Amino acid sequence: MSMQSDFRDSLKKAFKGLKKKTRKIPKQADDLREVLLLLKQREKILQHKLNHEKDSVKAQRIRNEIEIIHGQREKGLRLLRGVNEGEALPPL
Amino acid sequence: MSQRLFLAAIFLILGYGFWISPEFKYISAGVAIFLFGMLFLEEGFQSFSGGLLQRILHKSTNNLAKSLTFGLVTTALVQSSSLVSVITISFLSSGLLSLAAGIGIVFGANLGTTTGAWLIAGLGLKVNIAAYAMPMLVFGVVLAFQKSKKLKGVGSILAGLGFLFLGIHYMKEGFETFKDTIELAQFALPGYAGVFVYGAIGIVATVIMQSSHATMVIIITALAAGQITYENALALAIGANVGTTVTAIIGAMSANIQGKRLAAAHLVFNLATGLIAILFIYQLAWLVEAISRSVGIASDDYALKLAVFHTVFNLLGIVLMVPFINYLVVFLERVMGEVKTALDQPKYLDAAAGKYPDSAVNAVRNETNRLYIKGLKIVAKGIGLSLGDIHTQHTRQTPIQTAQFDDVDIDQQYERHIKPIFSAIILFMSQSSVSSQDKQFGDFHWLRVANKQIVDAVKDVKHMHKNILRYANAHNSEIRRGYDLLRLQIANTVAAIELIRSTEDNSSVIMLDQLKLELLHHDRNINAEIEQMIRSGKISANMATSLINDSAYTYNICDQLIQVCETLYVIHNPNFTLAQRSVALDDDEILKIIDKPEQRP
Repeated sequence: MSMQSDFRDSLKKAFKGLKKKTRKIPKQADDLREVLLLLKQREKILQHKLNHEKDSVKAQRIRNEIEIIHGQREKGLRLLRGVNEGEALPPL
Repeated sequence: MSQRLFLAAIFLILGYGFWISPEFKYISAGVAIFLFGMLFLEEGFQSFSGGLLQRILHKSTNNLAKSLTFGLVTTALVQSSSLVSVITISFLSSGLLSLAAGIGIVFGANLGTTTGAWLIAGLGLKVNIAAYAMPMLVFGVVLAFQKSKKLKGVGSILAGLGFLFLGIHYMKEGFETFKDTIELAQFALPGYAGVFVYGAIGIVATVIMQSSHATMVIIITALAAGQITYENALALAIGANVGTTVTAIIGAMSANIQGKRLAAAHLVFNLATGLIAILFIYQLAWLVEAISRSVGIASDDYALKLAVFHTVFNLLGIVLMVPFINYLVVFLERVMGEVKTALDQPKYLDAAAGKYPDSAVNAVRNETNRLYIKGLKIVAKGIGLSLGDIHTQHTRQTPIQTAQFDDVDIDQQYERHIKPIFSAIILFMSQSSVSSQDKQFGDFHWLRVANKQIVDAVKDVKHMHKNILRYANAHNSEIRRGYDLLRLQIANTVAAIELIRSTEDNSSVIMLDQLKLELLHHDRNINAEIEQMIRSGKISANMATSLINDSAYTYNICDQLIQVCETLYVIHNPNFTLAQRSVALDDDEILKIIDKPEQRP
């Protein structure tokens, strides 16, 4: 009985892994790359804006946004590494 | 009472029929088995509708041609326009579909249902389908006893088809032998008198059986057995088409105004089509003859000719009505307006929307969105502003005006605008079809939490509203400034949320995290300022405790509003990809940013 269930579980896992590798993961990696690219572009624009901003309050807001983008990019890169190693994105 | 009398009358008629004619028993049992088969078939398809049908419906109804095709194809596949109509009403009620798309589906379903006549006339009467019914029933019932939901569904579909075939077989047998005892054809009525009388019989038969499909089977089998004339069969088919709207009307009784409008559109379409078919019945019969000749249907194959007629007049109805769909939408929206009541009522929640997991989640999402906007308005009123003021003052960067302060009864606002909808959402969630095994259960959980957070934010603003009023015109300028800081904090949060709500792209994930970061920043700054006020003795101890308590309320209100915004528009927004949502920062990651040395104020 346990052998049967073990066999069934290993089959299930193999299928799941196969499904992830063949379908989900490349799509998630592409999506993440796209998000990271957009974040990088946004950061560049904000850096440029910050260099020309005279108002200290507005400058602080821009700095906050840049910090957030930094954080999101770091997180995105970490997730992308995981996805490239075959891990699916964790559910939210 | 009238329903009981109606039921008793039906029992009496059936009992009398069984007593005088054994063949009538066969025919009635055939109809009963056929209807039983339809129930099984619907149940089987419903077990698959938890995802696939909804996904297709959601994606393939963005224009009229697609809606029509969807209605036509799905009805032809599931052989039940009632199932398609009920799903359409549930999606319309939950806001997943527009009324025009819903009307398109129902029109398409009307044409799709004519494939049933083709199946019965082309296959049912020519092949001994009872031979296929038996193995289908056996396999179907074995599968229906399985634990897996999908196998059960397949089993129900097989058993349903088996019962349908068996029902047709019994009806066919019944009419064949009936012919030897009573010749029903002797009651045939020629001319327009026959058209109206048999049209009315078709309506009544369909209303009783709640299925135009079942009526069509009886008409075709009776016609094939020579028990009714071809001319009267055409009138019966028209009547069946009108009578079938009753199913949609009954389905729409528990639906909201949109569902009712759709049922009305269905009635208008079928009445108009029926009227045209009755007026031009002889011209249509001539057209059917011409088509039948050209496709090689034998001149005495009246069953197939009836199927041609059924398709032709439904197609004609679509051709004539499609150009007027938008006018019909405007007309129905004007005539069937929403009833306004003293207490706010839910707009998207009704029994029809709760039948399918996807539509149930969407209905709750839309209703929560409504509740959120109402909650934001009350929060804004609680700090002496309106959503419009917040938007203007935020964009112009003007300071908050304290002079224009009105006393608002937040309790009354809560009882009127929040509580009825919140209660309806909770009741709807507990009664809907979403179970813990469904993948939509997670969404339900987050939406339930979001609703609670909206309520908590409104209750918190109620607590601080008294002090805001008390200190708005106080002589002590420091306490006034302290409360202005709290109000500004809430106003800025609401303004940022309004911006995120209207953005819905990649930048909303950044804006939301930025908002969280700024909330933490401001909270620290405000607390530092309050401490400074207390230390320097600029405010009394009483004022200080009020300000400390209300500062905590302010943080809670902002935090709850941000979390609802996150649930509704960012993290659990199905329009974003998982990758877009995954990069959003959690509380610990935001704290790390705020605690970086260069970020300290």
